[in-house]
Amino acid sequence: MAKLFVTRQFIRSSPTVRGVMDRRQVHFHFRPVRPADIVVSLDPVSGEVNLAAGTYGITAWKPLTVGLHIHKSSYDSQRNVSAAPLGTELVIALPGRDIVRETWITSMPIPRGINEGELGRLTLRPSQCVRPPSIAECPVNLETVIERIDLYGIHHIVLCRVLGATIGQEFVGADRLSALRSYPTHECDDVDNAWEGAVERLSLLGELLPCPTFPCGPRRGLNGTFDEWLAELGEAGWLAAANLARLQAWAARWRQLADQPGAADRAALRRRLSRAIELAAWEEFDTLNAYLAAEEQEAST
Amino acid sequence: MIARYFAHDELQQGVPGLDDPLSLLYTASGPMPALILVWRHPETDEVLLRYTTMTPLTWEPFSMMVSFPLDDMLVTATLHEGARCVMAWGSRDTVRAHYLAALDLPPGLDQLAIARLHPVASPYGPVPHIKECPLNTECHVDRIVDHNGWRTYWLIIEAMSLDEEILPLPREVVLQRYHLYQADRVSDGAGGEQLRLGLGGALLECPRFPVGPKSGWYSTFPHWAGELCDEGYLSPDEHARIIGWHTRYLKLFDEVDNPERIALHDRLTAVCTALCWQEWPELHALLAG
Repeated sequence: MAKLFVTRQFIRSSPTVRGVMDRRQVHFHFRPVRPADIVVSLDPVSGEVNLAAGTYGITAWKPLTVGLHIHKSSYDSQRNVSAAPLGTELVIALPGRDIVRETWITSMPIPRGINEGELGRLTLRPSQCVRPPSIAECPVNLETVIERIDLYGIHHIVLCRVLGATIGQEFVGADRLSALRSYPTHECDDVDNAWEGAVERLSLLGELLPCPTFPCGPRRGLNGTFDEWLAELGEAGWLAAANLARLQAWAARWRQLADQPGAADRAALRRRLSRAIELAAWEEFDTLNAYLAAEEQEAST
Repeated sequence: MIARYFAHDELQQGVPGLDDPLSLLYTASGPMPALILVWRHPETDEVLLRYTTMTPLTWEPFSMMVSFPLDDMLVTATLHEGARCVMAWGSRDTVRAHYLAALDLPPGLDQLAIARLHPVASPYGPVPHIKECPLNTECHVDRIVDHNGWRTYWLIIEAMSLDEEILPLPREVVLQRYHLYQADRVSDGAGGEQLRLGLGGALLECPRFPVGPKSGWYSTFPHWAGELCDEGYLSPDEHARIIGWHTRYLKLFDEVDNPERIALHDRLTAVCTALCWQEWPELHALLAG
């Protein structure tokens, strides 16, 4: 499959290809889709509530920390969030598929101090431990405090530590796929409107793809170690005892050589061990056992 | 929607009555765009891979953030400021490869071979793109910030590659091809965790003008009001009234208890609500009063 290599300048030029009518389509093929949020903040002068749509990511999982990016010229978020002192409280609400129009309304250029929640006919209710209110129609409201703000390019990057969250009861312990098909919406792309402006399109996840489990990787999955995995393969009979011992010996030797690029047998051991792990990872155990036996035979001759 | 509050520790550890102690954390955090980060060992030049998720940064310069626990030495000991790297965005065909790139394997092995991924040389830098990943974004590490026990890498995108066959495809199709998301991790009840990924599904269009300015993004309220007048949604008199209210309201903004400000705030709220929901008779009535 041929790959088209381009520079970032090319992508910014709104490239088109034959047969594609929308000048934005190709551009967005190159941009990953990002989960959307609605940040609820308070005006520092009037204390009035502001809602602003954006996108977010998780920058640390423990403590749970959310990264926001706020445009330098965003209407109210620049004042309420980017210029706010550290310690300022925010609610980061995750919108669902039922409130697409309402989410869009929170991104419109509404005068300062006018509550977008009211315009969007959203229900605001007191949060548990922060001053800004939460949005009742959002399945999740993260109650957060700002810990760090950096101006970076044309955005402020704001890191917020999560203090707690309200979760819609119907999503607590719910089937994950049905939840993912409900929220959060994602900023997917824009398409042209009749005035060469943009119509934003949101998307949702539609499919759940479980990663493989043992014998591909240790029984404890991401919590397991390589040594556990090898031992478990032996216990479960996927590896013959002699082959398990050989593989463990290779791994032990590799740990001595990994940081010695000039060592004489490093390249060969790297190739052998990588091949053995590849076969285990792809669950080709007959081939793996034959491979290890053949290597044993070759080493002994 | 009836909601239940969970403190941070409950999000992390779960609460009695829930089968999976991890479910609250991922229910609260939502799915994250998932990728395989590719870079070269600074001494051996060997290609290294690590699974991670992305946080958006800025469009100018086009950049994204990835993060890793500070004790993930495979990454933190070998990926430094100024280094080149590639964010490889996979498809349903690379689920196993993503998982293998997340596992704790002995460092320094041939991870590409183990994951059965194939390098494609880049004309723009020393780090290969991944053949099996439809989209690759090639970056340099512009900044490193440690925060809350995690190392964040701020990556400026220099170049990209995309499978050519994708170029003409509609977005609805592309969404279901790539990229993957981290949907969650599920516990097996015995200390084990399974990673689950996801792919895109439904596409939902937001309203367009007159609900918001013609440009869609990056406009102002007066400009939007002008467009509504140009297109006949507002008469010139109504437009003048809205602009007058808006100007006066901003002038009084700091006088939070001023009755005139309060009245203007309420009027503008009612007018904007009618605009947002395209309730034209109500709008005209508000502006006539």
